[in-house]
Amino acid sequence: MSTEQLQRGFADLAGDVVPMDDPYGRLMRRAHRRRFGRIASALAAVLAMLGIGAAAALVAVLPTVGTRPDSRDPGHVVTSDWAWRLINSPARGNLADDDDFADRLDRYLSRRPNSALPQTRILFAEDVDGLQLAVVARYSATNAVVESVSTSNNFGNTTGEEQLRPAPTIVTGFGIVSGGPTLVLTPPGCGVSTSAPIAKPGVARVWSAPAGDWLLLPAGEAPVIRVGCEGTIRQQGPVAIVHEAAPRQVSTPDPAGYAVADFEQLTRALQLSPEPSVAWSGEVTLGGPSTMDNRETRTLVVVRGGRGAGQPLLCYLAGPEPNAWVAREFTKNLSRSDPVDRSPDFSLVSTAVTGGGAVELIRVPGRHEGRVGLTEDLLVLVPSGAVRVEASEAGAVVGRAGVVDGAAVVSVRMGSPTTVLAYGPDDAEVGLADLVEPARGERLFNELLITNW
Amino acid sequence: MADDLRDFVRTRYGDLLRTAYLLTGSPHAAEDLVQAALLRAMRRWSTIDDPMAYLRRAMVNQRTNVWRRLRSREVVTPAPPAAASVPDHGDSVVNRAELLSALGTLPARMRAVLVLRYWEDLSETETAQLLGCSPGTVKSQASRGLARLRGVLEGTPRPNDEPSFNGPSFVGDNR
Repeated sequence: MSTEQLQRGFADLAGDVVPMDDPYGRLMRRAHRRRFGRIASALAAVLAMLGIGAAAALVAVLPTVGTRPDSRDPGHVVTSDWAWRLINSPARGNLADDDDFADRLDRYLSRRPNSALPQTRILFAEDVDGLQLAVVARYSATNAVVESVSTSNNFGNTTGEEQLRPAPTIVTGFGIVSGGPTLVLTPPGCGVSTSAPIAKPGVARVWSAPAGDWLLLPAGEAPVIRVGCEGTIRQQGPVAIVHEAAPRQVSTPDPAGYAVADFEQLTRALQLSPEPSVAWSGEVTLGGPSTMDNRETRTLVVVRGGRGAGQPLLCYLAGPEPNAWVAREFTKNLSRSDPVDRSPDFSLVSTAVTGGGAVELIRVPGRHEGRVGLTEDLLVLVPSGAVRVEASEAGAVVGRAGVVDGAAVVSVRMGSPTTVLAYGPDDAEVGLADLVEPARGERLFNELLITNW
Repeated sequence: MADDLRDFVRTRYGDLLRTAYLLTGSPHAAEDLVQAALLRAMRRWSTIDDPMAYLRRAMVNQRTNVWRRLRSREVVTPAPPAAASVPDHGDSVVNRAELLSALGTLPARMRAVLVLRYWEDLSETETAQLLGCSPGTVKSQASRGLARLRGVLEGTPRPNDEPSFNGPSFVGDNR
């Protein structure tokens, strides 16, 4: 390439770049938000130095009408540069340049202060048929939380709030649960494409042209989305799976309830309508010889949409902390399964299962270096009367375990042709299953899933 | 000061934005880059003799820092980009997309040298002063940058291309 060609190329590229309206006004608004964040930060530091008593005195002289107490919610540590890129991006949407809306939103946010995350930035603001939807990041130097707010009455009548974990792709709105629009927001420079929720078997997916770095889906639409950034596909999967709320804060964990709720949400978004039932729930001690984490006891819940091959099944593994979702597994076809990783704390891993028979085999997920993958632990669900199970490979026994509460866990090497037999108290065989290991790769329903941020 | 700044933004914002776009390849990142540089300049506006030079330097420095930070995290994946599924809109668009993509393969400082030399039309000495390096470095970076662009656009593989990487392996990956 010659210098002349490069100069022509530069001119061609730059020719279409036109500033948005009122750049000075936009600059001033940004400066205002930054100043506001710094003042809040400094105030928080002063409060921290003065101590609680003095802080209370100081707070007492501040305007308090309509203001909630400082939440001091630290949010989430943000380690992804892509997530920071999103947090630092300019506002998008048809209200992005609306000063009045920005002021109203600022006032609304200042009524719910959070000194732990003193800076705020509007990431998205859009009017959809009178419903005003905004996505705002509250952040500090290390932590952040993303909030979506919708109002139909200038924040006098707030119709919805959702707190989201800061991630490179934010999916929010109410499309999945309550029939409103759903927003997909990605870092600048990325593009969102969509495809039909269910692809025809054997036919390659047809993707829409990238719609830019955000997309507002009409109510009821839950397609498969693909996020491409600077020439690389960074995320792909059903929008319902990308949708990620912050961990629910409840005092009494209910793994079975959560598993059923997740199952219903997933199947609804994927246009399936099975009746969920908890197939098995209990504590299992995980940790075979090559298992990723140390031996530990966790609660495992298996939800299925009916018996027999072809029924969806979800495996929910509760973490050591209340409600720490380590992994969940989902497969439409019980005769095959595939590992799928999503994110460190809320991940989807489909499972190796055998379906429909008296004995069911489920490959248990686990955590490894912040990611989720499959372990060598195999959960064996057995028929009543079984007291022990044996796993054998080419006629040689490779694992044994006693049955507790209708299930056993044996360690079985990934990919080995394994048969699992269940025995009764008199050593009579009461059931068997051949382990069908899945195809390689991160897939769901045999479709490629990508999380590559 | 406010009027001065307002006039400057009104008249030069477009120029800054175009340079920022060539530095970043993204309209949103360009907007962000320009605004961040202007916010920085606002604090000392009355003491800045040559605002354009100051803002160019601020943008290049900011871009280089961001690029370094991002580069340490990004991985190359074997999955092809979605570009193949994007419909063509004619040669011009394809050429622009190819050039933008090729620019994206350059290190940030090398890209900055090309933008400053061949878009901003700065001399080697001016570019060197702005980047804090010698004119000889500017000359060699510009030459190498052009050669790399030529190689990428002609499909010539670079000898130091990184190997593909498809994320960490799990137990299940050895099936």
